[in-house]
Amino acid sequence: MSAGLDNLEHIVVLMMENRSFDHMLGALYAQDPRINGLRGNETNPDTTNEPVAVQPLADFQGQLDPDPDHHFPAVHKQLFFGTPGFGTPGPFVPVPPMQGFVQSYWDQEHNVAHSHKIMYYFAAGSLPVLHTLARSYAVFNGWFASIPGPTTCNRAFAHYGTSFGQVSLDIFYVKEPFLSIYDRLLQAGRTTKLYYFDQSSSTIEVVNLLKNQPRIFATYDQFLEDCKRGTLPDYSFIEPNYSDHIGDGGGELVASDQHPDHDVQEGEDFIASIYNAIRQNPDLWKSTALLLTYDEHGGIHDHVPPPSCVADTPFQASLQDTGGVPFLFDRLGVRVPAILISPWIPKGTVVPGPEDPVNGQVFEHASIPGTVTRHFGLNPDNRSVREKNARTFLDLLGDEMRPDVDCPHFERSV
Amino acid sequence: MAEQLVVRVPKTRRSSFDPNRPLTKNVLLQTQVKHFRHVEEKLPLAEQTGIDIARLATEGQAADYIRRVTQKLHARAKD
Repeated sequence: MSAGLDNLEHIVVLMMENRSFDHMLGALYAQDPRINGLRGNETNPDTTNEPVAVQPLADFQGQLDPDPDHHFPAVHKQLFFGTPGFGTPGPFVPVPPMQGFVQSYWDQEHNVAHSHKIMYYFAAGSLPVLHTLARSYAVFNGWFASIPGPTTCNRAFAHYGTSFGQVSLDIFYVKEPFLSIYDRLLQAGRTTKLYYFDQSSSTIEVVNLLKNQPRIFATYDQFLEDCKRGTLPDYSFIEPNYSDHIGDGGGELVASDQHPDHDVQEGEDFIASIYNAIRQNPDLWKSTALLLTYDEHGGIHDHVPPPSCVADTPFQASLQDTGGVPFLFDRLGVRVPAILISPWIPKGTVVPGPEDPVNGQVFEHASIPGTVTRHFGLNPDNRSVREKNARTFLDLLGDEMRPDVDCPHFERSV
Repeated sequence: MAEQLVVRVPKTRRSSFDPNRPLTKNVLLQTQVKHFRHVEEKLPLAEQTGIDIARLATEGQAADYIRRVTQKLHARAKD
């Protein structure tokens, strides 16, 4: 066991909303070719059959309105357009060509010019927080959403290691024998909290968790206080602010989830605040691993085909939800940004993904409860097939703790 | 000796704040409201908000509804 793992007492997960890897981190390929981002020649055809190239023109707000469709049928088109099932004759193509993002976005407004914006990505340095963290700690080339679909079911994989057969935004119920990672921790005498931003933003997991276990929830302000006091639980899951609203003190609170068309810059500040809160307590900093990731791609372009995976037996998706496509939870969703942050991670770590057939590693949101279960020695039984087979990520923590001066600091505007 | 990298985080544009943004623009928030309503329906009538979610038109209104139900759920846990 590494010294980093020996020292690890807290795991914190911050899950943002609806942005693909290439959209947020694709520009970093130009700075470090180990990062599997964009070369600049990636294209998708538009409805006039003209190739639309990726461009570093993404803005913080105002471009992705309407919210790009990312329900299962739309994502299926984004992945498999141009193959059998979408007007092209021939046998089933197991590796999606990733050629349908522009046409899928066009479906919503029939506006050719606007549909091109789904190919935009953030220029290097335009996301100072995310780009700095990706270059300073460990960035994953192969972290994928768990399902080619929307938020609720993808977040379920982070909480339960499965979505219990759900591929849509509809309500699902926990089914025995599976337990949430929070129940598993509590049964083992461990501590855990879900931190939502405030009561007006609350949680996406209301039906199963907030309704039945409100005591495991706390606010973002409480997270900051717990970091300051050194009272952070063993495992923390943080949800951003999902809406623009007036805060309890009367202040204007801008959504920080980065869900289109919310302001990406506010999300940058939120991420920085989480990082700083951990970083500014020296005891916490050396004993905490922070995973920053996104629940799914939000309908935005990525060039890496999601790989297949073990089926989540016994679950199968409703054909009504998939648009008639049989789905056994045996392939992953679109790639999302994921960064593991700890002073025990060598600077500039790039975790290879599917682009490296020898050393590549694939992660998904079931890797989260899988990693927590493994690290805290929880009962490994009664977990989903997907979670049991998901790769864990704490072996990235090494033997040497980086000196304080080697770890970036974020100076937030007041 | 190397200097620490200090990164300044730009301030979000003030004009970004829009609690009157139509709820129809955000499918996730609409879904969150529906899920909160599903949970609220299970509460005793006296503890329900009495808000008709079909009348929620903006992000700010959705947030206010979610806050009220969240408070109810926490209050029940204290009883």
